Amino acid sequence: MKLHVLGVSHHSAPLDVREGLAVSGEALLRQLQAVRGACEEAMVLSTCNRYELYVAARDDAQLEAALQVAIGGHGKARAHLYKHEGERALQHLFRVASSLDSLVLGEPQILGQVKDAFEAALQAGAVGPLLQRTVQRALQVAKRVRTETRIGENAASVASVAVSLAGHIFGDGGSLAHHPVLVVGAGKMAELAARHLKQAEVRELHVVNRTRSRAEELAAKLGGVAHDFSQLESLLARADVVLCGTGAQEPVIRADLVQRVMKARRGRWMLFVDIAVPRDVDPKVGEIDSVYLYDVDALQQVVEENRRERQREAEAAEAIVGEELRRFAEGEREKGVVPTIRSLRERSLAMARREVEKTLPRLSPGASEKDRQLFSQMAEAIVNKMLHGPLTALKRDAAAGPEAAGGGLEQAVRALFQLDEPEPAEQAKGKDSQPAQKQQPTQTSGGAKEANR
Amino acid sequence: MPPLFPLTLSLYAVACALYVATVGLPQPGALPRAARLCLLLAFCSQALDIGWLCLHGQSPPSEAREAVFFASWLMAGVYLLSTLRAQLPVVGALLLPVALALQVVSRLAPPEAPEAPSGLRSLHIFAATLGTAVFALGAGGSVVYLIAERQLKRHHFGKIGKRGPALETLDRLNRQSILLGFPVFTLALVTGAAFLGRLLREGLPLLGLLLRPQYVLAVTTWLLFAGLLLGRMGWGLRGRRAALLTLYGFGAALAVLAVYFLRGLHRVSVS
Repeated sequence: MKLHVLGVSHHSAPLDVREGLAVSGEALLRQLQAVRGACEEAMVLSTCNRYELYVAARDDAQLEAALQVAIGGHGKARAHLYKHEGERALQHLFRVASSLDSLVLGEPQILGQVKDAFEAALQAGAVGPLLQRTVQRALQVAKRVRTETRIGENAASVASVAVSLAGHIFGDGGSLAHHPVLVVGAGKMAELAARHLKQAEVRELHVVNRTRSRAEELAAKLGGVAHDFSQLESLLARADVVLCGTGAQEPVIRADLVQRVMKARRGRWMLFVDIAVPRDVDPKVGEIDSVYLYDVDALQQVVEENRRERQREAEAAEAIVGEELRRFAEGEREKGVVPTIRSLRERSLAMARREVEKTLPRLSPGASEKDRQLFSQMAEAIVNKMLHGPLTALKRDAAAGPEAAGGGLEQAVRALFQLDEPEPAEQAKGKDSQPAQKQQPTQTSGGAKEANR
Repeated sequence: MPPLFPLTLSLYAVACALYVATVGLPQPGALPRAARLCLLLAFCSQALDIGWLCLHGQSPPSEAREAVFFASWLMAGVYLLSTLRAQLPVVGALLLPVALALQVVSRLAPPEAPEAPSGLRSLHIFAATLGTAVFALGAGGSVVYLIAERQLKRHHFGKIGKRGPALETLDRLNRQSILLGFPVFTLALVTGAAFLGRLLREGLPLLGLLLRPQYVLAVTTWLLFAGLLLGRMGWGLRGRRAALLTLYGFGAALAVLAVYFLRGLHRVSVS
């Protein structure tokens, strides 16, 4: 049974296809249960940038059935579908969980989304040993990537850059809990950026707009307070971070206004994030002491620089994924020879025990239970020592994979020790029973001799 | 030369390298802890050296070069103390090379004829060197502030801008170091004035005394830090201007030490 992944993502499919496949909540659970009915194990990872079906299937028929259940009604999606199986599927899962396949390289949400997908699959009873092992390992790999590289450290979106800039100025680990935020404007852009800013634990958020009703609407959505535009100066004196996104054709915030505000703030630092085009903040504002102004170009410059940094870190992350994949695959292949190892050991030990049972009465007719145990232990020890070398070689050979030199050792062992033939214990029983019967008279005669003496 | 000096110097050099590596490497790992431990060992080793020097009549109040050596030890100590509250390896990476340079300079200087240290003189030297060491911490933070601030203004981040502390943290370090250092330095100035009184009684002209460079520089240092403190408390002076004033003040304080040191060298060459 192999792991398969079938899916669409921002790499392969347009938004409308991804939107069509997106599934969550109860619908996701129902889908998982239905897919599980068609294959062995299943997990669905559905985010805004991807829909992926992870399946453990015995053959192509099971796989096709699972796919039919999952995306049957979305024929358009098939044209954009990618498929991976075995180690390629595993590698894909590791890369996805480590955010190496994300639209924004290194973004942290994907790890939580993979966890949620796994939880949902567990809830739907669609997780078996294969998914259990692979997803858990993927989560571990993703955590290792986050710990050992800086892939998630450089903000890669405008909103996260704003939060990161606030962190450079105010500290507090990028939290805006103690820093009031002012949103100037109530348009779509301002709303989108403010929504992202809210994720940085903003506790005090003010919205100001020329049209009071729109300010109130946005404030209600964001959990902030709406104000009249006339209060702009007093709000600027209070806010540490100002997000501007109005549709005004002239700057709304001029240098002389900020000069006055800075006096009222007693020189306390201010960050202006101006996402409006044309700009809302007079560029001269950036020249004022302790005032930091980032307009669209400046933000884009930082985003690009950070993306390049993340790209460099991604190389280290890919190396980690490769290393983990190799280790995991080796472990899996080692597990593949476990039945052979078990069968060889069991057969050898059974043989040793039978020989002890056969020999001990001849060697010492009145042997006690303790003697029997000692002999058995000795025989087992001999078997274990004899098998140690071959079994280690067998494991090593299995871990190295079929391409490695000396590959196929498992088959050789099975053939040499006749492991695929009927249990020799039965044959041995038949053979052993004859000498045992033959021995009987000897024993009896021996016993008679003993008695005659 | 004190017996542990080679070891002390090596430990300081390693600590410096570790702090620089902490700032420069993308994954510093356990380096900050190693740097701190190394610095602690260097500090202890230098403490033993200072003890040995005192036992041999070369205490900080007796010779200018020993005062410089002592000031470098205090700088390391003040930085170590500051790491108990906040880990600022980038400040350490700037401050420790200064302390290291002061040590080397002090040990390269030829010994002077030691002056008998009185209680007042000891207090004066202790307060002056401790004040300078505390100002050094503020100055280190100010340099980092100015670099990080410049990078923020120019929208281009280097290693200090990216991995260094936040501007507010650095400004707080500056404020605290001035608050602590200023009273200590004031004590040094007051005890220094007592010396001046003694010299006046010996018949030296007042104007000649007042124009001596070390006194002019000491008063300048005090005035700069007094202005900074007043500005901070009264007018909300902070950020870049506060950082610049701190650097000017520390520069003046270092110049006082330099004047005394050079005077000592001059005395040796004359004798």
